Amino acid sequence: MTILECKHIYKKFGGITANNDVNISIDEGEMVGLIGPNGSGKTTLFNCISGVYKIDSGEIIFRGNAIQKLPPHRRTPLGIARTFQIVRPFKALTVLENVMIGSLLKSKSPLEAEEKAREIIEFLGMTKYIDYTGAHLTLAYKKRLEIARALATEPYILMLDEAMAGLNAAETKEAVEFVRKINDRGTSIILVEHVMEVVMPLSDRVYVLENGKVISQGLPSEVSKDPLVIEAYLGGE
Amino acid sequence: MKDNGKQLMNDTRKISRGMVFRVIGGLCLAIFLLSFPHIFTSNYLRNLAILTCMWAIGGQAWNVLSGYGSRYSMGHAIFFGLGAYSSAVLFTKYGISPWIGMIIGMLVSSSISVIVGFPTFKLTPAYYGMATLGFTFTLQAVFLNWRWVGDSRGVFMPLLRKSSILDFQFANNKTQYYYIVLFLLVLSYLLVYKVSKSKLGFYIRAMKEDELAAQSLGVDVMKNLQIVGIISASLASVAGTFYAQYMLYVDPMSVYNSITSNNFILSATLGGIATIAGPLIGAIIFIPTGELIRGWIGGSGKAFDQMLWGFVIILIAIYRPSGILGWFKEHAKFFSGISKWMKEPIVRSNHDNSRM
Ligand SMILES: Nc1ncnc2c1ncn2[C@@H]1O[C@H](COP(=O)(O)OP(=O)(O)OP(=O)(O)O)[C@@H](O)[C@H]1O
Ligand SMILES: [Mg+2]
Repeated sequence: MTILECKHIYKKFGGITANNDVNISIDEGEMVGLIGPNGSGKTTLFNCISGVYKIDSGEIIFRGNAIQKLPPHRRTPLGIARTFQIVRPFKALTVLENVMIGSLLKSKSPLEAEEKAREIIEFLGMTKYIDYTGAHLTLAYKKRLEIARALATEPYILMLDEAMAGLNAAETKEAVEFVRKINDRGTSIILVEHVMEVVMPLSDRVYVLENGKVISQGLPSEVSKDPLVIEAYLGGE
Repeated sequence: MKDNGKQLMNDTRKISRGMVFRVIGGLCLAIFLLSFPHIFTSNYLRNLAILTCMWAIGGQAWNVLSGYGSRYSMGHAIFFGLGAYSSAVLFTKYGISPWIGMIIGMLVSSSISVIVGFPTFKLTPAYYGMATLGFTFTLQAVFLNWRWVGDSRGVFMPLLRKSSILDFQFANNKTQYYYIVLFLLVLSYLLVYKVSKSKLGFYIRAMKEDELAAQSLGVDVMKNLQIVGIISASLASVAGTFYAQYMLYVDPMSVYNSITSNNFILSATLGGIATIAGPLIGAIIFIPTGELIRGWIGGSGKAFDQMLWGFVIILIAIYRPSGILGWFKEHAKFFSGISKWMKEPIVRSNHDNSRM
C-alpha cells in the first residue's frame, strides 16, 4: 500500500527551480533512496514534505489525505518525521530531554514520554550519553540524536537527510545497521545520501534527482547502470 | 555498606541527607516566613517584605515568558496595570470584591496578551520587546485621558472602617497584607513549578533553543507561546491587583511605565532566569537595597537607584546572563562535593532495617 505520494511538486526560489515536477511514492515498510548531486533539491523536497516550505504547486498525499496545506506541526502527528542535514539538537537539553520532546507528542504525561524516550535511546545505543547535553555530543551522536528524536514521534515514515554524512567507516557501519533495524520494525524510510555505496545496498528502490528533476528511478541495480545517472554523477561534481 | 550495594540500588525508598536537609530547611523557612511580621514588628520592615513578595510575583510572571520562554517582554507593566485597574475600578464603582476583580484582571490581561502576541510572537523575539514597550505607553496615554477610570487623577479606593478579607482591606495593619501576598507568592510559584515539569514546560524549553526543530517534532510553537503568555500575563496581573489594593490607589503614571517592567526584569535576571527561585532571590536582594538607597540619598536623587539598576541589568547581560543561581551552578565543582554528601542515604527502608 502506498503511504506517501508526491505529485508534480514544484518549488522555486527566485530564479532557481529547486523541485521541478517531482513525482515520488513510497510504500508501507519500504526503504527508498534519494540521491543526486549537491543542490539537486533533495533537502528542498524534505522541507516540502515536512511542511517547512509551502509548495508552489502539486499535491502531497499521505495515507490517503492531501497534506500540502498543513503547517509542519500538524504533519508530524500524522506520522511524518524528519531529521535535519545540518543537525539541530536542543543544545541545553540532555539527550533524554531531547528525545522526550519527540515522545511527548504521543504521550499523556512526561513520565510516559520519559519511558518511551529511554527505550529509543537504548535501541539506538545511546544510553551511555543519556545525561549529556545536546551541545556536548560528537557529530556522529548528534546525528543519531536527530534520528532518536524523530523516531520518538512514532512516525509511519522517517526521512533521513544525510544521516551518515561526515561519519567515519565504523560509525557509518553502525548507522547502517540501526537504520535497517528501524526499517525492520515497519517504519518506511526515505534515505538521502551522497554516498552510493551506502544507499544502494540499503534501498528497495532509488530515485535520482538532478537540477530539481527526477532523472531516474527503479531498483538500485538498474539505476546504477543508467547512463543518465552516471553522467550526472561524473559530470555534476 | 559495600556488601549489599545491589540491594541499595533496588531500594527506591531510601532517604538521603539532602531530603532531610530539604525538609528541615523547608520547615525552618516556612516557620520564618509565617512568623516574620511577628518577629519584625516595625511597619517599615513589614512594608519591605510585602513589596519584595509583590515584585517577586511579577518577576516570576516575566520569567515564565521571557526566562523559560523566548519572547523578551519589556512591558509587563501592561498586565500589572490592567490587574491594578480592573480590581480598583470594579471595587470603587460597583463594590465588587477585589478578589473577583483579581480574576477579571487576569482575564483582561490574558486577552490583551493573546491580542499582542498574535502578530508579534511570529517575529523575532526582540519585536515582542519593542511591541510591549510601546504598548505600555499607549496604555498610559489612554488611561491618562479615560474619564471612566479617573483619567490622570487615578482611582482612590474608599477607606473602609472595618477590616475585611472580602474587601481586601485591613485598617492599620500590614500583617494581613503580608499573609495575603505570601499566599499569592506561594501559589504562583507552585503553579510555575508545576508548569515547568509539565509537557508545556518541556516544550517551551525546546522552543527557546530551536523553534524549527521543535515544530518538526510536532510542537505547535504559536499555541504554546500563547499559553505561556497567558500564564505570564495573569501572574503579572495578580501582582498588579495586590498593588492597587495595598496602596489603595492607582494612577496611569505609576503603573504603566518602564520602572514597573524593569522591576520584573531585574528580579528575574538578577536571581537567575528560567529557575523557580531566581525571581524571589532577585527581589529579596534588590527591593530592600533600592529602598535603602532611596532613603539614603533622598530628595532629588530618588531616581538614582533606577540608574543603578539599569547599569546592573547591562552588567548581568554581559557578564552573568544566568544570574546568581547560575553562578552557583557554574561553581558546581565546589558545590558538587556538598551535593554528593547530601545525596548519600542515611536511612534505608525494607531490606536493611537491621543496620539502623
Ligand atoms: N531557502 C532557500 N532559499 C533560496 N534557495 C534555496 C533555499 N533552499 C534551497 N535553495 C536552493 O535550491 C537548490 C536545491 O537545494 P537543496 O538544499 O534542496 O539541495 P540538496 O540536494 O539537498 O543539496 P546537498 O546535497 O548539498 O544537500 C539549491 O540551488 C539551493 O541553493
Ligand atoms: Mg541537502
